[in-house]
Parts: sequence; C-alpha cells; structure tokens
Amino acid sequence: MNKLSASTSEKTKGMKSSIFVASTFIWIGMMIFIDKGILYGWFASDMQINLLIAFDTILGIVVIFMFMSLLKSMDELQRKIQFDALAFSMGTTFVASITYSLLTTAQIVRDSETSDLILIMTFCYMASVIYGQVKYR
Amino acid sequence: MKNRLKVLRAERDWTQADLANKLDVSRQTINSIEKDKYDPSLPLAFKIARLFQQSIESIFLDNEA
Repeated sequence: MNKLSASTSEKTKGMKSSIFVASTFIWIGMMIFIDKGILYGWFASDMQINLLIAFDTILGIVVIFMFMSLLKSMDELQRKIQFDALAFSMGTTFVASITYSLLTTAQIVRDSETSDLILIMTFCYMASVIYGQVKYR
Repeated sequence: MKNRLKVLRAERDWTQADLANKLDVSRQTINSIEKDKYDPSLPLAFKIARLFQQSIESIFLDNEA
C-alpha cells in the first residue's frame, strides 16, 4: 500500500473516530437533557417525552454501530487493545453488579443506582484503554 | 516470539512509519512487534513475509525451537 492510500485510510479512521465521539456526546447530552427535563417538568406532554426517549434510543443504537465500524477500521493491535478493554470493563461490571445486588439484598446498600455501574464500566474501559496504549506504545 | 523485523527494516533504510504504511497498520503495531511485545496475526505475518520476500519462519523465530 502506498503512502497516499495509507494516509487516506488514516483520514477515514480519524473521521470515523470524530463522528463516533461527537455522536456519543450528543447521545449523552440528550439523555441528560431528557432526564432533567422529566425531573423539572420541562416537557408539555407525555407524547413529547416518549418521542424524545425513542429518538435518544435510536441515537444510542446508531452509536453502537458507529463503534463497531470504528473497530473494523482499526488495525489488529488497536483492536486488541479495545477488545481487552471491553472484556475487562464488562467483567468488572458483571462482578460489581452481583456484589451490588447482594449488598442491596442484605440492606447494606439502600439506594442502589444503575448509574453507579455505568460509571464503573466507563472508568474501567477508559483505564484499560490507557493501559493498553501505554503497554504497546 | 522473537523476530528479525527491525533488522530487515534497517537493511532497507525504512522507518517504522514507512513499514507501517506499506503494511497498512499503525506505527504502534510495528514498534510492538519489533520489541516482541505483540505477535502479529497469521495474515499480517504472511504480508510481512511477502513484503520482505522471505519465508515466515526466517523472520519469526519460535522460542521453543
């Protein structure tokens, strides 16, 4: 492969990455907007809320496919770093959710929040990606 | 797994970025293979062998052999 096509491939990957990050932020931003909107009564009707939730869910599905497309555009080492990070974050979240559930059943934890698990998953994923990038620098 | 990638690259006076472009992988991948931190997949190993016009076993050395 010559330098021109390699640089085109890099540009495509960069563009896919930017679109993925932008759409993820839009999805999260919208999720927060809907959550706060429901809490503070910003919406006029239930229909409006339902439409916004449906739109946000569709956007979330689009983000999943964008991430898959981004993974496909990566080379094998970058993909390995991502898969290791996904495996680590999924495993940690799985164990944490069971522990959390047991603690809730035992009434040691009273106000269980799903968002705590999402935070754990995000933190583990990001930490693992950074670890992979440093390891295979 | 040990390999002779760095030597073969140096013989041709290529940078890691040059080799990465020729193989359509990142420079990070070339660096990790050269430092024995990462073993390439079989398709990539074949690609490397084709590029240097050598057999896979003359580039990648089995530690247990």
